[in-house]
Amino acid sequence: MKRSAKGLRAFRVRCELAWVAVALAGLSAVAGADNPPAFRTGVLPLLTKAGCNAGACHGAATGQGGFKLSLLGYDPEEDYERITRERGGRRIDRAAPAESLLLRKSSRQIEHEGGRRLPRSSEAFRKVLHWIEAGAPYGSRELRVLGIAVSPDDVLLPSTNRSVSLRVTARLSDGSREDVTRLALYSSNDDAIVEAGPQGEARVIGPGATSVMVRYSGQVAASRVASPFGGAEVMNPLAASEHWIDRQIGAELKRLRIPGSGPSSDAEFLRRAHLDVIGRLPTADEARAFLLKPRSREDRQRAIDALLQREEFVDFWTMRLADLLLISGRRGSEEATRVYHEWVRAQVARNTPFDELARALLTSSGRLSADGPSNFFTLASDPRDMAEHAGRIFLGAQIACARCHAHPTDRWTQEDYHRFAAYFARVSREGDFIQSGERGEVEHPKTGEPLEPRPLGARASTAPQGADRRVELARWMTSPDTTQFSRAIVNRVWRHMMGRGLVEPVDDLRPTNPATHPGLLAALAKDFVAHGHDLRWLIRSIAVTRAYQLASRTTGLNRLDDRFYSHAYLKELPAPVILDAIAQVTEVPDAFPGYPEGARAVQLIGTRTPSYALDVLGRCSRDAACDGGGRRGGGLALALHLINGPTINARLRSGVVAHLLAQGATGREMIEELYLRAFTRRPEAAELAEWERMFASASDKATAAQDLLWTALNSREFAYNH
Amino acid sequence: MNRRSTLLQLGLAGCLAIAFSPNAAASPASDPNPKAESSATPITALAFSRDGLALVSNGPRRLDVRSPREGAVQFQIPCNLPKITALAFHPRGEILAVAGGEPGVRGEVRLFDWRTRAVLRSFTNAEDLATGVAFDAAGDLLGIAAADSRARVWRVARTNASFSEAFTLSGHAGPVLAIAFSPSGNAVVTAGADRSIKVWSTADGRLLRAFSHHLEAVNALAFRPLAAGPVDARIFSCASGSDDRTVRVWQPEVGRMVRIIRRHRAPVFALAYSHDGRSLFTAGKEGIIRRFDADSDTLLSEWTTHTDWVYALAISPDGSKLASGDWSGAVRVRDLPAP
Repeated sequence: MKRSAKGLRAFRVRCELAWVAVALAGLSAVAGADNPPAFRTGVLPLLTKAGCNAGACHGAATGQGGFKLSLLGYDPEEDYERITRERGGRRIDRAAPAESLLLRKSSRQIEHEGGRRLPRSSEAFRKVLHWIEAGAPYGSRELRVLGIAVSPDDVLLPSTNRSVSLRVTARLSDGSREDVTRLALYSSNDDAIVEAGPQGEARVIGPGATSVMVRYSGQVAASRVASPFGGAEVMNPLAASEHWIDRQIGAELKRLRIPGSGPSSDAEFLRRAHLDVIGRLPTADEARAFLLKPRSREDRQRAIDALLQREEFVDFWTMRLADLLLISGRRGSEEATRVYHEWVRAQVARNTPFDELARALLTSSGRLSADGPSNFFTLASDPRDMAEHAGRIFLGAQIACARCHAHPTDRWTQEDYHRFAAYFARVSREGDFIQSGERGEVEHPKTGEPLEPRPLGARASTAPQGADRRVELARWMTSPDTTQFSRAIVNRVWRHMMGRGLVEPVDDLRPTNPATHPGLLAALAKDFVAHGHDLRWLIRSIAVTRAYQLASRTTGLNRLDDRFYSHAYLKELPAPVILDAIAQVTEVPDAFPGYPEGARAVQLIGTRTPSYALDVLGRCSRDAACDGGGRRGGGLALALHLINGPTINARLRSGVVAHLLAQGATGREMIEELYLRAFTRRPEAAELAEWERMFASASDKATAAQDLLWTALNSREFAYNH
Repeated sequence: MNRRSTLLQLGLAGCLAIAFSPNAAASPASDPNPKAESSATPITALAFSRDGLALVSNGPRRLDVRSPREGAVQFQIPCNLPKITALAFHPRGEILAVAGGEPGVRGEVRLFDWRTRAVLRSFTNAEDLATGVAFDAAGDLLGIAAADSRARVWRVARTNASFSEAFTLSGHAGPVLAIAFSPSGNAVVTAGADRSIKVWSTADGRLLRAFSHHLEAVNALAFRPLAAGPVDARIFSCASGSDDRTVRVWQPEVGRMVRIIRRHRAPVFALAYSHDGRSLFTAGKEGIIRRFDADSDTLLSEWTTHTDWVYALAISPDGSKLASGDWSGAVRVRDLPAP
């Protein structure tokens, strides 16, 4: 493989850094010079630290230069064979160990495109040499690293450019513990906040908090490193709030010295709560009623409770769950999709506990066109694909990497992955039927042996022979002990409400990607389980907090905060929601083929209903995950469409403007009405004056009202939930 | 010696050293205790001398000349190549070709005068290990496979044993791991880490065809001798052993794959046909030597006499011995019963 000159230079710079680390690594790693190191625990970590088995080097899927190693050493036995035995054992020379190709290449005594990885003067070089001199033994097959711990695991540094030295301890299967700080790999989850050095130094670059991911011998851990935004302590009312969620948010803001924004106005709250809870704007009348007087916290709670009982809540959260479950209509008949959608809708209406809903989906069988949840298994026919879907949907986990090799950033091995997939091996689709039989296996990709199913992270399956494997899976997955299940859904709902997940991305929950507020996520999940996996309870719990009800306006210093909830984050309206909002404001509903007049976009079943507006607005196709929740379109096409296209322009003349004109509304009344409809607020004085001037100078009131409406619908204030 | 008898007497070498006898026949019931001899160097090359009086293996920067009956080292021939990968005797038995080199740096083939043990000539123009070496049936061509992705063919002058480069075979996308000449004399076949098998004309070095059926690297090649009957170039078949755990049988000069043997559970590194062409011996990562009926692919015997990867197989000229060598340095010699 040839690299460009520039790429090669960069590559070599990395190599230099790597070998400095490896040289130092050897200082601590070479112990007991008379005892040859075991390959798995004594040699492979050196090669990993040197970068030999990184994805850009021999750890690539096809290796480099005809030499392939497993990515980051996930398969020690195979690596051992490749190093010692492949191609007639060309890479080591037991008769003249120092002449081994492994050493000559890695120390660049002969040309090595990867540069110098193990300098001859390093202890690491000597350790590998010693190992070859001893006959290149594998060592004990049983000895392995069971886990690693990093300390400190959570640290606040006082300012930028300060650093902390992380210490990593490995726990081995023989009961011993080993300091592997010099051999572990470090990477920052956000280089703009913390820079991770090759020897475990974490240096703060900018204010905020992120995690340093630590990897060693197939195990992972993370350390949270933070630095305050400001130098002075800030008082944050959230810290003293009566609500436990607020207190946790407030404590972190205080720790990081981030001032909080003030509370949202009643208008902002009402608009935000409507869009978040029921996916539509308040009507002008609803806005007028709520804004009649200043509202107390109790008034706001009552408003939230009322929203949770609205029919639109059911439509909106059915859509959100359909997004999660990828109910697109492309995997089954129109009738089956409708039945599936209606089943989900019924669960939302009934407020079925989320664990119960998950169990129903995971264990479903039957006729697709009659048994709604059975459509869950149309997501994929291959058990591995199905396992990836289930992992993403219910555990917020991306396990696909482990299909081909040990997960580089998580703890899953190939065996973990395929055993998990084995739960779905006996599910089959025969025409319109989903059934679970007694045949079907997932085989180990290397040995070809059929694998018994096993939950992710568990040591043994408890599934009785002959039983539907999925029952065991569903039981395990929804058990209170499987905290990732509750954390995953809690995190998704939190993201929906707050604009950012406690873990991002929401489908990437793993130890090396910890939450911004680990305690809060754990507490939310626990509370969710304690309240019967009640989604309405969860939504309400979040919506009633002061944190949720903060203003989106920043105070200056918290302008840079995008993850600690010092202010409300702007949320782009999903395509169906903004299209419905345009229809609602203009009083010109969309016409969706096959649906009755007045049907809203959030009520559509699947994603096959033709709608150019939804397409250009970027609706989720549900072919793949749309966990962002926002619009997936955008760009010039969307901007031009909203400015010039029919979605807005075709609704200006008729609808609300015509109705207001027919009612003989004055210019001021029209301005107020349109503001309330679009923004859930009355115009400010300056805005009112400007629009009244426009109305006065316009050729007619209709033209001025249309201009106002067009302007409102093309504004950022309208397009975002703020 | 006419061409026909030369073919029958010599057999042809594959990648990791193969030799076979016109008199050989094997019995699946035969399972004598093998004799063993070990060294610290993986045994990647084995060859019986043409007179059957010596078994030669690679050693650490030397050649070990062993007893053909039990494999014990009798004496050594210095050969300071860091790695020795393959051996091949010239059909007339006077010259031993030794392939090897310095991994990642250079490849080399040395020709030894088998009578005096003197080095007659070195071929040093490969940029990585020479991985395979073979003479054609008439002894007129010397083929060298190398890890630098090329193979080279040298022409041997009968009069004064001088060599001239005939052609370089360029076309593999990775190390060439095996080379063998068709008994027809018309083609030379190479196999490589790029999973391909390529057939080249011995007349001009032109690529005749390529096979890409193997799913992993192809480690070994062996042509099947014809025991009797008319010789038709089109029916010469060649076996290939691969990391994909299969042995495939080809008719290179027809251009088709004939069969697949799927009885291996791990990569195959070495192949040898019995001299009568009725049996095919295979070995590899499993450490198991298997004997197949070359017509039906029926597994006749399997012997687990090695505890490590087996890289080399060789059959004595009289067909009575099968030698094998593994990573640990063990060389084992097994008696093969007379037909």
